Amino acid sequence: MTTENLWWACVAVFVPLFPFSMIFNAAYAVARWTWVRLVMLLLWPQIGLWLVPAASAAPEHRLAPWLSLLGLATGVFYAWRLLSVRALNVWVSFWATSAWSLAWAVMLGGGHGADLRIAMAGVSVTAAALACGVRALADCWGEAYLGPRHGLGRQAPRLAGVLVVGLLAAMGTPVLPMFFVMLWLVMHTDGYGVVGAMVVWLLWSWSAARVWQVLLFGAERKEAIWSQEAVTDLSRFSTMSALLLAIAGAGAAMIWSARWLMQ
Amino acid sequence: MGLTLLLALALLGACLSMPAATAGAMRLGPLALLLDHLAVAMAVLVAAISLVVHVYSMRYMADEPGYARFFALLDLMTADILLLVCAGDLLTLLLAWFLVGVVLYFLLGHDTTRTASGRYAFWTFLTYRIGDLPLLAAALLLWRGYGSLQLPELFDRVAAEPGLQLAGWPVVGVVALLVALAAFARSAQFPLHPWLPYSMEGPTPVSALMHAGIVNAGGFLLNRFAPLFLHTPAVLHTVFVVGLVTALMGSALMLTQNDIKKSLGYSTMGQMGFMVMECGLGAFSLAIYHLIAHGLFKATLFLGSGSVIGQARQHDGVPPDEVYTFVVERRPMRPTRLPWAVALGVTVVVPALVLGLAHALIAADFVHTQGAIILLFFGWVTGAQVFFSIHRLPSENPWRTMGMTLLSFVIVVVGYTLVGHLFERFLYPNRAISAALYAAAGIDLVAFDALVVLLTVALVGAWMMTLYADAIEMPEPASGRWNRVYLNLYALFSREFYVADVYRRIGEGLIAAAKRVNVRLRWV
Repeated sequence: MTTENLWWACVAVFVPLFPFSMIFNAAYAVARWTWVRLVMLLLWPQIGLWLVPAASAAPEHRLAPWLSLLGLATGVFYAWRLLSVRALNVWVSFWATSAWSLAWAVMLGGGHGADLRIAMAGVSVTAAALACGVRALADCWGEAYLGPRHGLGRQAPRLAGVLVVGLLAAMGTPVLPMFFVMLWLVMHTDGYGVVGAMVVWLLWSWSAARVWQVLLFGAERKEAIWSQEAVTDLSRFSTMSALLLAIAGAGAAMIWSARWLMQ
Repeated sequence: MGLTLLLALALLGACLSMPAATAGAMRLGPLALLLDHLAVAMAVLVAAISLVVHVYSMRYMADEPGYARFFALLDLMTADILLLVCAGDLLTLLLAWFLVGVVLYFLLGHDTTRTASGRYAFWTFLTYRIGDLPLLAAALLLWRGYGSLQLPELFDRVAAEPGLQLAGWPVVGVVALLVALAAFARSAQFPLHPWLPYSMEGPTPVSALMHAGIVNAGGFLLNRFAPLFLHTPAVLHTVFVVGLVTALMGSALMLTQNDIKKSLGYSTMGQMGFMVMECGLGAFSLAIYHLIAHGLFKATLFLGSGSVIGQARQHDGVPPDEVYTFVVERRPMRPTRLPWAVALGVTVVVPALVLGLAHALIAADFVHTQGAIILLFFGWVTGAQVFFSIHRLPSENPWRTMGMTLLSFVIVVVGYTLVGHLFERFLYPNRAISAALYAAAGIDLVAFDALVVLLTVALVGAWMMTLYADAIEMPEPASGRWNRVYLNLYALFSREFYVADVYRRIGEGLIAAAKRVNVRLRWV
């Protein structure tokens, strides 16, 4: 294996490409502290993009075109696997893997500059916000596993609201950052990239709706009723902070997208 | 909401006072609003229906939990639809188009104690998302091909260079097909329709808003992109076929459902089929008139249903119809129905007579023009639907009912033709564009004749099935091969053509396979 290929293998770990993508998901599952997970979510793709120039100055000329397809396939594969995920920590790591892997289609199209870093940061911030919500759910329920539990919306309306907004952000709802990130990605990739990104988008939406379906609808958790245990909702301060983060993210994404749309 | 309606009316007044082809536009960075005749007409409709729904909901939802949330979502939905109809660029259109499905999900699933409302809101959401993505692809292709996001500018460039290709694909043709797909999902066209009949699980005001306004978005979208369809006859023919199939299926399912709510849902599906079919025939303005008329009558129907139920509770409770007479008064039923042979004759002979007279009296080639095709397919299918309905309902004097129906039908057709013509002058003041749309949608004589034969066979077949259904209620029901055919058809209709079952199977299969793969890969 040449040095360049070794560099590209490293990039494939941090900008996930199956089967290297399994390293991130295994590491995320092993990391128990929330702050470690947040750091991983925020830094992982940036490390990969930082390694790209070390691997090659012009990746679009050095990489085989099938890598773009493998990147898209990785995105579709993890988005499809999301459909059956009930543990929300796994959901976050699969979703982030699926979103980051779409960067390969853009890199092969010649886009590997600051905008790609910003787009991946948009994915990371969304994943990190969702991870914080999942942590709060684990505090509330004892674990962030959906299983047979339903009706969080009536037990802890603020927490359910924050989680639903997080899921809406993850599935690319306007005007939250992922909507603009996905727009940027499809505008900077070829026809296969557009089709792949759309399949991924559809699968995210399906999967996210399945999750909030369980959170919002149906009977409340039976164990909570039997044991009369108090379920802790998010504080008003945390809820407001989450809302402000969403508004700030939307504002920043709009300013960023206005810049490249006006060009 | 009242102020919104006043503003919309003021805009309509301003539009009417300006020269016909003028359109107002407002821009903020890449975003823009376009206030042309189509946008303003739709804005008036949306604001009016939303105002009625708001006023109705104030009392209807008063005792429901989440009152403030409901109104916040209702306001957001109204604002979003207004943004959608006034969008002057592709980005604003996409933003508004994507948001409709999300807000509608939370409105339909307002009552979180009911799992069913969540399940059907989920179906709606997923279908809407399926419709979002083709519009995104269309926007992307237009931007790449013609280098602009602004709709008026894009349409000018398309008119200047309609044959542009990207990677060997005709941009306008592919975009028109993608726009049509987005419209199909939003307006419940076959096979993307199963969400609509089941969306009644939401609160009544939401059903009214959805069936009267939101579901019409497909017709609006086709009209908004009408300048593209000038260059894509094949796509217009596809739109016509999908609309026709949807209209026939919606009408058939409406007539065969026992559940009144589902029947109403399929009625909307049939109407959406007519609306899309009109676009496929080049009668774009007629589709807008249709969606406005349908919106007003469907909103009245939904919002009036509560008071009908209330009246029924206050009074006797059981109306003195034949079931009452049979069950309560123990008198034998005496069903009096319109003879099926007469109904069949009317539904098959009258359209042929109308076309023949038009051929003889107006012009020899009249039957080949778009006007005749619209009259045939819209008038014929609608008329047949009415006759099937009145045949099902026993009446004291079926001949009088049939006479009144024929009279109403003539009034409706004449009224439709006149108002449709006025609407065409309002929405498409440039006669050349509407003429070009009709020309693009035109079909040749062979296709026309084939469609007439196909429709005749379908209607005669439906009447034969009705006759058979009446016959098997007799003491000695028919047996053998025809009975099997009838039972299979009965199963097909009662299971709503198995479309929802197929989707459910596919969904469950995909989820089960994902689970197996996840277990095999140890969830990493």
